[in-house]
Amino acid sequence: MRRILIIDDEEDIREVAALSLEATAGWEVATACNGADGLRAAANSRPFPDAILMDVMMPDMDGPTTFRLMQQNPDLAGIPVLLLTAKVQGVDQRRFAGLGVTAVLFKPFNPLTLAEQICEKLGWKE
Amino acid sequence: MSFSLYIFIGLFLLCICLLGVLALRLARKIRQQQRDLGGLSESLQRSREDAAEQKNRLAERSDLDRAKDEFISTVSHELRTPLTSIRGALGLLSSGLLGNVDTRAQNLLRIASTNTERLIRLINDILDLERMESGRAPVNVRRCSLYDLAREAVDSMSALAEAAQIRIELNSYAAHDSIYFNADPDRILQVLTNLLSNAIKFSPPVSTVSVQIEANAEALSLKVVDRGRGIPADKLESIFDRFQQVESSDSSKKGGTGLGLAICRSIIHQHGGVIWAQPNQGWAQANQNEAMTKHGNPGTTFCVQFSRNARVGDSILPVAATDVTERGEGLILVCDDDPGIRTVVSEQLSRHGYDVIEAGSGEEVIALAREQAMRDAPSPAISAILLDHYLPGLSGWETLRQLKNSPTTAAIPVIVLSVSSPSERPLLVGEAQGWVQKPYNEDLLLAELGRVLKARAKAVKISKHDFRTSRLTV
Repeated sequence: MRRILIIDDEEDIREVAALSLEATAGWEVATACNGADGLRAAANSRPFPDAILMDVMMPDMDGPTTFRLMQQNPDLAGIPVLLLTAKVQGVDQRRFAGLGVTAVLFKPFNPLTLAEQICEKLGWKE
Repeated sequence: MSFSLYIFIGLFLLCICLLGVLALRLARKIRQQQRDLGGLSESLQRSREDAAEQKNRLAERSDLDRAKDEFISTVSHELRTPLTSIRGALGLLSSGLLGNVDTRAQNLLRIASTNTERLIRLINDILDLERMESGRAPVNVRRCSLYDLAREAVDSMSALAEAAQIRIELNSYAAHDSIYFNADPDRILQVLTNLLSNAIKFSPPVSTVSVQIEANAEALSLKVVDRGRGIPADKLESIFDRFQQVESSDSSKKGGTGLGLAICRSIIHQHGGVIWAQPNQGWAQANQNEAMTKHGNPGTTFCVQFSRNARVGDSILPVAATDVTERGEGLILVCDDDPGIRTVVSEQLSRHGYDVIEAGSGEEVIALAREQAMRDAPSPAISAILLDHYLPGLSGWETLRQLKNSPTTAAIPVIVLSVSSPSERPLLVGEAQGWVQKPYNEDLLLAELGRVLKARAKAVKISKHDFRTSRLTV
């Protein structure tokens, strides 16, 4: 069973995304409500999550910063990170792609195909 | 002796008088010059103030542009965030994954879901149109086959067509090698899928939507023919405007955003083509013969036509009544971040005798302009700069401001290439010497360049120091 960590400051989105992954794919989902919380949750979970689904715009520490800090931690650097963003403009897309994250997914996502999308981006065969 | 003394005194007095007169005249002249100088310094002061004011206005404008971009980006983000929760919650509930929902509740969920999808499409379309009209949608021009693009569009719509019991047929009446043209395939595909989706939405079940490709020496065209209820004659034009639908209930019934055809028109114009709607051929005749029942609905034909001579970036704007057959001369700096547009403009200019250098950014323009200005004759200095309005990094307006602020480059006339019309940006018309609206027409561009260069030559002749710019009236 896959273990996914969702980091998003919007409680409703965390809940819907978690429910979507649990109900459609049967994955185990943990959530965190900001970057710092996410870093802690990722570092403390055993085993480490198989993938992290992270919002871009979050107060205090945004997604890209959290991602950079994750890369500096040898335990977390290998975990694939997917950014989930409501910024869909080309400029933003290019900026995110340049960060080195595994993939960028867009909001509003389809709750019935979110798990499929993640599998496709990560090359997972479920 | 006394006589000669008198003569001497007389001469002496005369000299004094002459000297006095001379002194008086000199004094008057000095006063006059002082007055002139005063006037000059006043006018200098005035022009300095004018320049400062223009500088401020430019700064304000580029700030406004930035603010607008940021506003649209933020609004779009802020709308998407709650929509993510709504779409997610509704999707999960109506999927039945969380347990069965009774039929009436299911129906309500369906209504909420379809309207959420509609709102998402609307936000996407508004962003799309805004990007296109601000010139920020990049155009990636390639040689493509209109038939292959139509095939791809038909295939991508097949599920929707099947669900609505519509058959789509694709026929090409053009020779194989005549269906190739220069275009951005993604954009053309967007137009074709949009036209097909409209045709499917407005067709009665068990009918056929026909896509036809024709070509001749002058033009390449594509028609999408449906058997729908038809479009009243007075609305054939206005349906291409934003939020204009044939019936006001269409957006809710058919799920459209009211922006689809406006986007299509924008894309086709960008490709130097034309798009229009007309009643199906043969319908008018059938109508006269009162054979309505036989033919069913009148139906609509959407026509897209690309002129063989048009290049991407050309438009159908009327040609200015200016002689453009004259050969131009001079070194023109062309700046656009889109290499496709740069190539097309350069080619058009060099065909008419101009020498061209290209720049891909505002920073590059400033560096090149300075470098050219520093060079000694006989190397040619830049005669004019064609400047794209929207550039990544240093924007067109900031580039313009920096050029005008630097004494080495201030005298180079600048023609702005912008998707906005000068009337939308009246504050800025005065800062540039010329204005060409994108998508542009080759003849208009050449006419405008010729006009600006002539105005500059005249101004240089009148006064080498007092270079006045001529305003373009449109």
